[in-house]
Amino acid sequence: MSVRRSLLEKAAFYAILAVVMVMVLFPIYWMVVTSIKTEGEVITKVPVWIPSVVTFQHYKQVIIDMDFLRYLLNTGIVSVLAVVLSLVAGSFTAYALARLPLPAKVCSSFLFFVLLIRMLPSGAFVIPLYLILSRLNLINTLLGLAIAYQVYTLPYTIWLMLGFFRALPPELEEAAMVDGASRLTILRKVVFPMVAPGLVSTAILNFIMSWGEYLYALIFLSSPEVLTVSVVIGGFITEYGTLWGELSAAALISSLPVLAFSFYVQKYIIRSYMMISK
Amino acid sequence: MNFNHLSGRKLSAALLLFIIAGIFAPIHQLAALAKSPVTITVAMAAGYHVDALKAILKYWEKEHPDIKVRIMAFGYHDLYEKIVIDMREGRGSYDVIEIDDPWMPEFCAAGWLTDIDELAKKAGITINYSDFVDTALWVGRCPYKTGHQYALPECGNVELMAYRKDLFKKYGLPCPPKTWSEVLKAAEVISRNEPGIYGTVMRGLRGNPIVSNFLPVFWAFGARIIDEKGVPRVNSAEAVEALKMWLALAKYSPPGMATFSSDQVKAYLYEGTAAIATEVWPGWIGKLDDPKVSKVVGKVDICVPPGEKTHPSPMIGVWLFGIPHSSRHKIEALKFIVFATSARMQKIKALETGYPPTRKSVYLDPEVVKKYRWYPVQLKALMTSRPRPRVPVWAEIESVLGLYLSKALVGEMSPEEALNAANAEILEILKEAGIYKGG
Amino acid sequence: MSFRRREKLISYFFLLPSLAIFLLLTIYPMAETVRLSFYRYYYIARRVYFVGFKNYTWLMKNDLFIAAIVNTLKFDIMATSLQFLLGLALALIFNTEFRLRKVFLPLVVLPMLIPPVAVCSIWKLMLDYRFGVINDVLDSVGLPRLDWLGDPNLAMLSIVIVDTWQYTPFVFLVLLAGLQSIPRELYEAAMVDGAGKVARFKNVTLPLLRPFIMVVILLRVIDTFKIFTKPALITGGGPGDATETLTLYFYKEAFKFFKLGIGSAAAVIMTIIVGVMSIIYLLKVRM
Repeated sequence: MSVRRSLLEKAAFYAILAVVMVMVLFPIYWMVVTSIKTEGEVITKVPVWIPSVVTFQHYKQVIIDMDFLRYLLNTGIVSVLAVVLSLVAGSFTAYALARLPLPAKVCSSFLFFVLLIRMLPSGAFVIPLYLILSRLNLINTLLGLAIAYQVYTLPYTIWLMLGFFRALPPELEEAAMVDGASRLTILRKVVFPMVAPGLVSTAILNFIMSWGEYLYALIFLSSPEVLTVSVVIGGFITEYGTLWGELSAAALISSLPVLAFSFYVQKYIIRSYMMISK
Repeated sequence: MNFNHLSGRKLSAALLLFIIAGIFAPIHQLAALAKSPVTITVAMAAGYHVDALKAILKYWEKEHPDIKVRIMAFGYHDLYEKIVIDMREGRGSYDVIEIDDPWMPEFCAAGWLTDIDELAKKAGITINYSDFVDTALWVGRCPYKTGHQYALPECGNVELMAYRKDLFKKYGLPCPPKTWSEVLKAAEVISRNEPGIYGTVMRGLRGNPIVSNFLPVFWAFGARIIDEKGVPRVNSAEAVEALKMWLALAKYSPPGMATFSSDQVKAYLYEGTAAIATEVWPGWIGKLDDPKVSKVVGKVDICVPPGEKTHPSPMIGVWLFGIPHSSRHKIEALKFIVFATSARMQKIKALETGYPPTRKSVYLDPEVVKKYRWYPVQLKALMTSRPRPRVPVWAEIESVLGLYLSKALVGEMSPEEALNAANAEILEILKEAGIYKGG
Repeated sequence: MSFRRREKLISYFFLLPSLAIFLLLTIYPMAETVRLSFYRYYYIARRVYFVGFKNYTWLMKNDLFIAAIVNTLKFDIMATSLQFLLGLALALIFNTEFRLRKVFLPLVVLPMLIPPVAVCSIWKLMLDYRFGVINDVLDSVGLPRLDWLGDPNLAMLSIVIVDTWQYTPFVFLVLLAGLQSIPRELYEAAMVDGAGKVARFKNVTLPLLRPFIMVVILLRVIDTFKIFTKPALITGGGPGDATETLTLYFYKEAFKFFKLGIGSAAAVIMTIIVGVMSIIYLLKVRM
């Protein structure tokens, strides 16, 4: 009896899993198929599930004619810069907050302030940020964009890392201090290795956000050499019709680096969230 | 959780490289620019505008090897945002900008564009204006029609109508239709007798699409948006009649019309599943006779959108090249836009990409007409075209009108209610902008 | 005690530079936004004049803005609930061991990684009444075609679907981490006590998962409140005003008409609404 029940359970389980995977992957399948269809087959009376003619011209157009790899590189540079900046600034801030003997009220109001930033529509920051970056002569630079992204990434980093630092018992550090280690060594050898999963997970989420961001990249970059992937993809939607093939091809290509990245570190994403306590 | 020491080091090295690249990229950029000849940056709308320009770049490079051209392409709205912020902050990132004609009043009022007549005099360049279509030149002047030239028209966009000549002939319908009532009748007849073919296909997406689709009908009934005293007249009796006619036409459109943009209209037209596209733009119809994408080769004819109570008023929507005041390479920019709008280059653009010209000679050139049989009609439309109201707040008016037209379309409001509501809000906008002068 | 003092100083040393930059980047723009909300600021014409609270009263009387508030709240509740339920279900599924789990896991996360601009475009294509593949599927199983984007009642649902598709992976990841942090022994102890599947879920899983659930719901409530790209690219805020959201409204005022005063006031109202919601939520949760 119990064997049959478990077989039924297993079947139901795999059935649900199959449905879920189909719903998740179908639009991606559609993107893949659209990227290899010829123009005539993209919008047809009866949608074409399997193209009769497979063409790679859209990929050629995107990668070779449009120099897409440069945009991939730009996006990568901006994202890495933004992540590094937020990790350094954010984790130090979070660490100090966790260890400083601050009254609880100050701490929670600061946290709420940080959350407040997330609540404002990102567009509200555009003009003031533009003026700041302009004065620092950082308009149209990847570094400037990475600094602008701190508005998104810093609050998030501080929030997450604070949870991790709080979860870390201070006795470990005190023990090391008693042993005569300097603050810096403690940080390097004791604290950061222990919160490494948190750093990694924050890094990944910030990376994903920077990679796909559109508005700031659009406004703060003005020459072809520094454009990022999202802006270029946005350019495929025109008043005269959307270039579906190129759009899909570009979108897929730009998802690959992030996908590879997450394949590589999937363990850390999971394990890191374990330590968040509210 | 053990970071393999080797991979950890590789990771750090890669990170360091990225950071250095990010910080030094701007310096490299500046260095590259300093070495090269003068480079002008052109900000333009993405799509076939860019294709057209790329088609003539090789000729430019041959004639002016000392001036390099860089193209930055953006979607319609993004382009507007970028050039506004750039010009407002005086950054001078762009030497040539592509301007949609409704933006001209605003840019003129803000004083952001360079006077082309004066600049040409200074640079010793003469521009022959006689070949340009007048209506297109007028929108490039500050003030409209009477002032100096501040932008050169380069894309002769004008609203046209496309219809299935074969079906019209089959049912003995007047071909081309001379009034909107005739169009309505044709839509009714065709949809009744041809299963699977919709009478009309129209743009209903809230915003610029629905307003652009509506205006030719609106004007054909004698209605106008703003009168001479700055009073909005969007809810006049003629306007209500026009909206009723437009809604009647919309009934023959495919479901989902309320979110149709150019993609859908093109799709239905090219598939042959719609008999009349009441509003088409030159950029959409270039491939109608191309068997690779069109299922209606040779069956579609183009005409001027009809009149009704008054003469036809196809809406003009030309794009112009202007030179921002903050540009640091004004003379080179001028040379470029004169080149790009010359008859020779416009012919090449038309032949290679179907880019609508702004010069009469190109429209009537036999080689060009051979490829695009509707060009004489397009020229006529352009010469009799009508611009949207020349007010700096057009974007807001269009947004309000677009919202209420959309509501009328889905039946949330009656035509009268919708137009009254729109008029009230437009009145506020005009008052706020100081355009309303009472009445 | 000078050790203590030195420790404090070092903490400040860590805190100050990053805090300074951070505050510059955030406090200044936020203050500007609040300040501008009391002016009419025509960015292009360079006309600025003080109007006090007029912008706020104007907005609260504006039908479109009110519709935006209602739509955004509706959307927020629908999307967050749906994403929570689906994310939880997914997390429960992936919390067990099965073949191909290692392969499927990154695939499930894939929707989050695709640039939102591309996601919106492809879904717009798929949801099209005539040419969309979704209606094609409905057709083939004998169901009626739905006007996903043109029917005012369905348009909001369509946006919810697209947002759910893209961001459920986020909820899933957080909840999965939570599930994996629950020690097996607790389940085993419950089983020994004779607790069935449902009882185990109620008494072991849910309580321990609570902190994670609270975090993820708060974040999604805040994030979906700002929904912008999807209605902007897929429906343009229409049909009518069915999918007009607050950020869409703000964006139009600030970047289409460049009326920065009204735009700022809209942004402030938005923030107040979601801020109040969050405070209530946080207070309740602390209880």
